[in-house]
Amino acid sequence: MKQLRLVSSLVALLAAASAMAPAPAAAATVLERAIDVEIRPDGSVSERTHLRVRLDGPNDFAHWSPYPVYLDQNRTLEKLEASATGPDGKTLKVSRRDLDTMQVAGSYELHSSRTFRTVTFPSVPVGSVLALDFEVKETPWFPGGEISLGSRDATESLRVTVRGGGAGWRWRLDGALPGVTAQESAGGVTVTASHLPGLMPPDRAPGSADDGAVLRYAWGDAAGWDGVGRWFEGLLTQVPRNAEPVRRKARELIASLPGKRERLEALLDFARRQVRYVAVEVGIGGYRPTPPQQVVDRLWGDCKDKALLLTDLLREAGIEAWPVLIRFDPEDRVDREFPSPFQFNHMIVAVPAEGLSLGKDAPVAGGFLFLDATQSIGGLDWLNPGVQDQEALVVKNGQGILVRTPILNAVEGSRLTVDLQLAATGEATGTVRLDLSGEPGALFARLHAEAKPQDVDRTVRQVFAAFLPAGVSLTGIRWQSVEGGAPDVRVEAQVSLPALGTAAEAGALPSVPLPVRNELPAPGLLDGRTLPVVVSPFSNRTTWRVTLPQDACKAEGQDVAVGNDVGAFQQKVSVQGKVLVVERQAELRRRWIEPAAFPALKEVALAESRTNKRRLRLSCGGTP
Amino acid sequence: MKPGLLTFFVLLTAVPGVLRAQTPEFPPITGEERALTSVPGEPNAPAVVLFRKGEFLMEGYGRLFGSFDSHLRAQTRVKILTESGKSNGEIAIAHSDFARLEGFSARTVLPDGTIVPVPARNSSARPRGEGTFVTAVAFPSVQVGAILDYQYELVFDSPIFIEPWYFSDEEMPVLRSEIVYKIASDWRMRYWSRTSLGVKIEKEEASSSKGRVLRVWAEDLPAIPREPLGPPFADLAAQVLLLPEARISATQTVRLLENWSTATYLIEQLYEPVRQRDKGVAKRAREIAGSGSRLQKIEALYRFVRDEIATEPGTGLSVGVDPGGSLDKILSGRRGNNTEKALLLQAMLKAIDVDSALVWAADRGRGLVDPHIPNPSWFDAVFVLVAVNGQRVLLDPADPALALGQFPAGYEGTPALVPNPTKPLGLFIPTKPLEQNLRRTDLELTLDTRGRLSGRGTLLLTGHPAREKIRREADPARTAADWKEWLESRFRDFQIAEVKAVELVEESKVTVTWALGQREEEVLGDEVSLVPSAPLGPLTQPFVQPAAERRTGVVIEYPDREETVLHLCWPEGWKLESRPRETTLNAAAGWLAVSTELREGERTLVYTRRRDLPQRDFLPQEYEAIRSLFAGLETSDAQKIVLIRR
Repeated sequence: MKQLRLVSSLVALLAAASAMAPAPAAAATVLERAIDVEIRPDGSVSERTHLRVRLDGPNDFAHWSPYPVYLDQNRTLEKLEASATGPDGKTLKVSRRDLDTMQVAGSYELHSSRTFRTVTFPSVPVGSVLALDFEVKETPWFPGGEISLGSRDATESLRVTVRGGGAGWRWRLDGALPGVTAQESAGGVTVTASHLPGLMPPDRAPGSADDGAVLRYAWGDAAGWDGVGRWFEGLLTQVPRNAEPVRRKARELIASLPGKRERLEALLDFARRQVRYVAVEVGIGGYRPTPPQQVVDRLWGDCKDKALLLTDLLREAGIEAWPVLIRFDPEDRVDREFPSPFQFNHMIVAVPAEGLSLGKDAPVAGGFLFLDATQSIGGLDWLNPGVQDQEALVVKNGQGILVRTPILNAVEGSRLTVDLQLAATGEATGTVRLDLSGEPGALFARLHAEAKPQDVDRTVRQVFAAFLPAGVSLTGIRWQSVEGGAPDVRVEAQVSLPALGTAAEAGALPSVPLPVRNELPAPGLLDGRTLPVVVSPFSNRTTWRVTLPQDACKAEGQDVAVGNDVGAFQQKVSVQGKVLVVERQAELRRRWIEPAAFPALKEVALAESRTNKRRLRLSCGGTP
Repeated sequence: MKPGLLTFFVLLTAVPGVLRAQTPEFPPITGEERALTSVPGEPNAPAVVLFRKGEFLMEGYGRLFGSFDSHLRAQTRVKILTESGKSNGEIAIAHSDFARLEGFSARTVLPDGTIVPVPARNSSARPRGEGTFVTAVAFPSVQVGAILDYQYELVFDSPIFIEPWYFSDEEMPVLRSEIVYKIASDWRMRYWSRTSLGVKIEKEEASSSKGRVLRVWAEDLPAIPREPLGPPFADLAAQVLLLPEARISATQTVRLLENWSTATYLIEQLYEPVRQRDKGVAKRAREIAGSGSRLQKIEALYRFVRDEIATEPGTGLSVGVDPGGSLDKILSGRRGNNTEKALLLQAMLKAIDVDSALVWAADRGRGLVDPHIPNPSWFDAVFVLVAVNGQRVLLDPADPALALGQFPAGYEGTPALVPNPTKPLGLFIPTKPLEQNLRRTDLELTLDTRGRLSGRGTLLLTGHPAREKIRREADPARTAADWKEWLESRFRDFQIAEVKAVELVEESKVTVTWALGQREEEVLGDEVSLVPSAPLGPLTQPFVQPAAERRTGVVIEYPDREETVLHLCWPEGWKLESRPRETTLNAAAGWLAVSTELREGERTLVYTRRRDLPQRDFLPQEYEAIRSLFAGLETSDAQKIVLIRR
């Protein structure tokens, strides 16, 4: 199954895939949603939820029942009442046997203490109203919280009250949800709205657009990113460090390695490859790492376990290193205006970049080199795109320093080189080479390591099918991974096409319908759009060298070059002797494209789209 | 009812396990196991199952005499062969209130022989609701060359264990797998096995004072190949099943899964008490049915159970039911699992004097059924069979997207059973003709003098393609929005407008209409290229492997037809530069025809494309035929229509 997922990830990443429709969905009406959050003097929080939902369609019941109430080691259910009222006015109570408990673990987790108390309503027809009132008591790990305000379902009435914040009280509405108003009070805030429409964010919208807006709040003295850093450092002080087995392991790994870079690489390699990624998130263990000695003993851990271990190994080797809280999320980012740890979901490591002889594409920002110990592939010079262009909180010497990680699109992408000999009959033979680097390269390298040769072969064929003309026949497929900085894989094959193009008449030059790929977002994506476009930056190049059956051909006036801050598209067509060379390059340089930059995005996207629609025009001798 | 029979399924649930097996030692690691670094014939295997052993102690065998429990002891040894094989260092074991997990122990044995036990804190049982759990375990110190040992016991409150023992593994090759069945002598069992990929299953049997011991094993099993649109795991995996036929004592013979008659009788004993508790069901049925024709009444009841009674997931045997349940609870609670809904529908039909029968049906996606083996666990759903105008009609009340007489595609063409204890009736679920599973688009496009395309399109879905789309969204606006999004992805250069989607559940039909116009900024002015197969095409070949490398057959979802008709017209001053070549493929796997008709005088081109797939299952030797069919379609779809200004 892992292999299938890898194959599909790789193919989806490289090929233009299309699916018919998403999973069944529902859109009931939330008649009333009221959340009352009371912050108590002892730091605990009482959260009372009052919910009334009208079922408007046949899918709605299945969407709302069972309803999950989120609990955890620090969140307990104090009270719960639920019922369903049919269109006839008859009310059916939810009984105890309709409550169940299930723990959930993410696909990346082996185990988690996250628990849902599920409420199964009596089945009622369309037009019925589900009612739910519950109270959860929480002792938050960090003095703060957040509440999503919008949803896919329309909301008639929304009221969220947070009170009792006391000293250090702060709050912020992040995101856009027209119709929401906020009224601040001493130590609290009340957010109200009515007639909120159901949200249907467009394609490639930020992940948080599903919620429209989020109310973030916090209290106490851990204000500012510095305060968050101090809070996290406080957690780290609870973790036993500097154990001799860890120090010994560091010394063992760097013995005979004189240089700083070599030492860094050796220790990073150990944390990445010898400590396997296994996530167990129990209670505060979702934030607090496991003691590094335990991780060294068992040789497994999650991101923060691996990161803290790497930090300690590096320090033992005389290399300064600091833990970094970050968000791994290709579709979203941290609200830098409201410091809190809840927005982070990942931990990496920062070291001073100086003196490491890094390449120009190394993930360096603010003087730090960022290292992700959960990456199993790549060297110092590559950072997974999921943590590129993200706010990173470097926890250094009791401070929290917020730094944005760089975008390194130049190493994310593909280089396709095709050399073909075109016969007068239209048949073409030659070679194809595809270099995959960055994330596509990493996916392929993992597949190469894990899959059977025939599965790799099949994947290569699928990938080539996305680049080459239909009907292509491939032989002599071979592949190799290049160790080093960014993951880099080269795949090669001999190609044969029974009919690349056909000649209009005997003796004439066959047409050369080289396949094109739309790699930039469709210009239509920007129609009437107000939300940012979130994409994965990349840089792809394609070179076709076709040896034509006749000489003295021309291919003029087909060069295109458009570029700006957001991206670029270029096409260069030339003929030298019998050799036709077509080079195309598409590049996306930003991940998060605000509406102000839409004209720039449209400019490059249109250049690609319009160019790709044109035939390749060749004239040989007097024949157009 | 014979209480003795029911006991096996139900009454024992009240009796806790009385004996606990001692946790055995792990077998010593052999020199061969230590030396193993790769598996012949399985290049790049990241890990290998050195052995997987099971021991099933059926209630009444040996020292467990007097206990109502049966025990399945499982022991597995895995060796890590490559760095990526370390990802096999986590396991998850599913268990439940019915199959309780006991005596779990595990260890990692390092290449130097050091034993690292798995501490208790490395494992945890996670409730998944409905009395089910999963215990997840992370092995420590996993490295290349390490051996992972684990063992556990599942304790059942019943002697009946009718799940197969799989010798094969989905991801790893297996050097040896065996199951030992220990059965008290008063049980009569039936042996069944399935194998493929050249795996040989062997067995030996012995008797003792405690009972009989049947040892079954297989060696050198390849990892099950997972190929695109390949058969399900259960088709390919080597497996064995020991079915309890009867229990014979001095005073009586209790017949269990001896034949379909006794098997269905057993399950009927579960249904009967549920059926008897039917207060208010008949009255409600008559109210709902109203006073229409017989067919209208049937439809009304079917729609009620399908739409108004929520379908809950079942646990355990799919065709089974909790005998403590009742029809009136299902009706008043407005929810029930697949089987409970079928029982309710049957009772409601009975209330309006419509005779019906239950039908146990199997999902092809879960593996092939062997109808010669009377095992109720072959089946995944319960349908209701009624006669309408002299025709047999099957009703599946579980899926709100199903019309009367429709059922999910996976059930078509599979063996089914009318579970009548006196006369069980085997049948095959009918397969819908391919032309009823239709995806058809009609597109009319006109090029204006500026070189801009615009027009209208219609998509018609019937049968299974329609069912897949029906009621996926809550309201027409969202449904239309979804279709618009899809159309925009298929016509990148165009603005899509006026999207209307009409879903007719009872006719299994979806019609989507839209208007489309090329974006002004996409207009080139002197040239137009068009993918004529859109929006259904262009197809990407799903079968990229050469036939020589394909090991398994092909199982598609259902036979179907795909049709595209495009009418394209253009103004004076433009000419047709290129169009797709005529293609006709009448292969064993299906049929493909692509044609274009140019009406020069009218400056019109009519493009038609039709692809038929007449069957669902293709044998490995038929792979090349289906591959060729799709290759032909892919090649044709890649050919564009090009118009240029003169």
